[in-house]
Amino acid sequence: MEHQSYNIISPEHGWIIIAGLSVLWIGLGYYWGRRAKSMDGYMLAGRRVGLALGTATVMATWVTSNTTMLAPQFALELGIWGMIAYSTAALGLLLFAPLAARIRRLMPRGYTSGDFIRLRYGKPAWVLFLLISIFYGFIWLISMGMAGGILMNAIAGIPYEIGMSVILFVCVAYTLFGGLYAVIGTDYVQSVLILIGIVIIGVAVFQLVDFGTVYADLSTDKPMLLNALLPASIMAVFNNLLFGVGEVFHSNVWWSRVFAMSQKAGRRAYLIGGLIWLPVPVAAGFIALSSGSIGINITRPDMVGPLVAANVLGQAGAIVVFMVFFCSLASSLDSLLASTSDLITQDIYKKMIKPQASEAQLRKASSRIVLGLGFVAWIVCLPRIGTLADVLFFAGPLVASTIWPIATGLFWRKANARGAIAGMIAGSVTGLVFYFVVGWYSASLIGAATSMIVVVLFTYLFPGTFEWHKLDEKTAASNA
Amino acid sequence: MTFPYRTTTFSSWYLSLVLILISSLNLVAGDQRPEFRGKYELMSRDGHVRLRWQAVGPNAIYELQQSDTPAFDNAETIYRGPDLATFISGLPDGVYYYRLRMNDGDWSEPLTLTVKHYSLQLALTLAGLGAIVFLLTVALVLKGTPKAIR
Repeated sequence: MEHQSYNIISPEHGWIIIAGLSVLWIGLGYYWGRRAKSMDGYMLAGRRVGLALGTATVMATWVTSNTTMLAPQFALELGIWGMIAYSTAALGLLLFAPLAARIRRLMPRGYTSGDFIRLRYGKPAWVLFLLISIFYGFIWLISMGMAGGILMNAIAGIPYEIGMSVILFVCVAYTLFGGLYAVIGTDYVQSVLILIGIVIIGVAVFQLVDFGTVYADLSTDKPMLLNALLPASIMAVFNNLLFGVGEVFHSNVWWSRVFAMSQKAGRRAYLIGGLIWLPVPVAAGFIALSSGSIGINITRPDMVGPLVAANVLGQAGAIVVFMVFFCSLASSLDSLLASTSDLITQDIYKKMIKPQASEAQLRKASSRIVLGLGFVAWIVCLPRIGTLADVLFFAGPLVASTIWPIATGLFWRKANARGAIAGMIAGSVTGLVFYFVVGWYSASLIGAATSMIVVVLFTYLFPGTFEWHKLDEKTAASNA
Repeated sequence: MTFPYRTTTFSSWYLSLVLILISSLNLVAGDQRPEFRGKYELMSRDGHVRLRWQAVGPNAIYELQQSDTPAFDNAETIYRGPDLATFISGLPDGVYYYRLRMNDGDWSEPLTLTVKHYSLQLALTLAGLGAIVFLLTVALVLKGTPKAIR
């Protein structure tokens, strides 16, 4: 690992903050987890989550380590357009709001995004979708485990392997105790801390960094970052937008929250959460552009956000920065562990392996899956492969290829299984070809475009006649 | 060439030997040229690059220079410090040369970076395609919204 000469707080202070927050999350997770007496409670927080908690969990989950660490990396690599490109991910949440209402209406007792694909398109499409979704969830998990290690190393000088292990352990522990109750409850506290921290950091950075100097330095040393026609960043804008839409539309992280919230709360929570999230990447990105003026050497681009913020704000500010990053990591890691575990428990264990499983057996399986996910993520994170962008954007074309199969599946009766399968395969393959030939800037964009063309073509050629009531599986079963 | 530390007493001779050893050690340290890690011919399509170099010894201060000529005319020091890597971004099309030294010693072999951005035509075409996909997705969702919230 390259030596980085800016460890802002001492490892001792870092450990004190980590220990304090870890005890808080595990304690709250245990406390809220006591409510989870049934599987509906454990997986979907009793399906009674209101607007305030719903908005907080949407916002906190989307303010991931990728927002606080990758958005600055985007700005440092791609300039002004890079910041805008990252903030377009808010459109994923905003566009999902109407879908949330539709999902809740069509599937009042659904559990996972996999349920929808199975009931709407049948088993082959379901298996393909699960492969994509679990692969993406795992990649996201790895990128955040890595981010935890990088963050603690950059700010407090804690060795990467130890920092990464601690954050994974803490999130696995409280998710294990409390399921979605614990996840949503801690998300609320974490979102409040994140917002307070971002306001403090934002105000301090805008007061301490001179815009004129930053602009002048960029013009001289990094002129392409101010160039509106920087080709890579032009491509990145719509690529990132479609990646974000694909992430939200398909991932069980967002579907499980829809099933957990009431119908009215779901749509509003996604709208408000998206609007609150929108300026966060721009603020995070701006501070990266000032790294040259401040005179900080950046050894890895994914370190730029925490390093600049902590350096500008000094010791006290660094503690705020550390807490914000730790909260943003935890709020996403727990969500991902819970929702991926739900997907595997419901769609693989219950539907494929043990259909007659009791609630106690499902709960046990779910806990083991959370533990297994955490362990495998830990093994993969250890060697610290690539940068966050390299890791995350590899899954881009896969998730972007699910946008049209899901959106048309929710609104078009004529959308059909052949189109959904062909769209996901064609979109994933062409997107990955572009990932390796052109770069990640184009992979999600091509994946989404190909999938859209294929889905529309198959809908026109082989129109289906789907009956919406089939999506309400339990009602259909009881009527039968 | 005369021996500079010629002495007549044992203690002076001993002192001279120590001084020779120290000066030869300094000479060796000065000869320790840092090396970049990886290839010395790099290509970037997006104007950024991460340069890494091998650690030479403890307490080393590295100096990294950038120039647009292989002779390093008008070279600019872009990093000076103990780190073993730096990230450079925002470079326009062109050929850039980098060299490195430790504690004001000898310079390393130069590293060459060629920046050739993606074609603007390709970028605008892909962005246009992305805009169409996005707008059609918005249209699909908005058209279905009344159905969704009814």
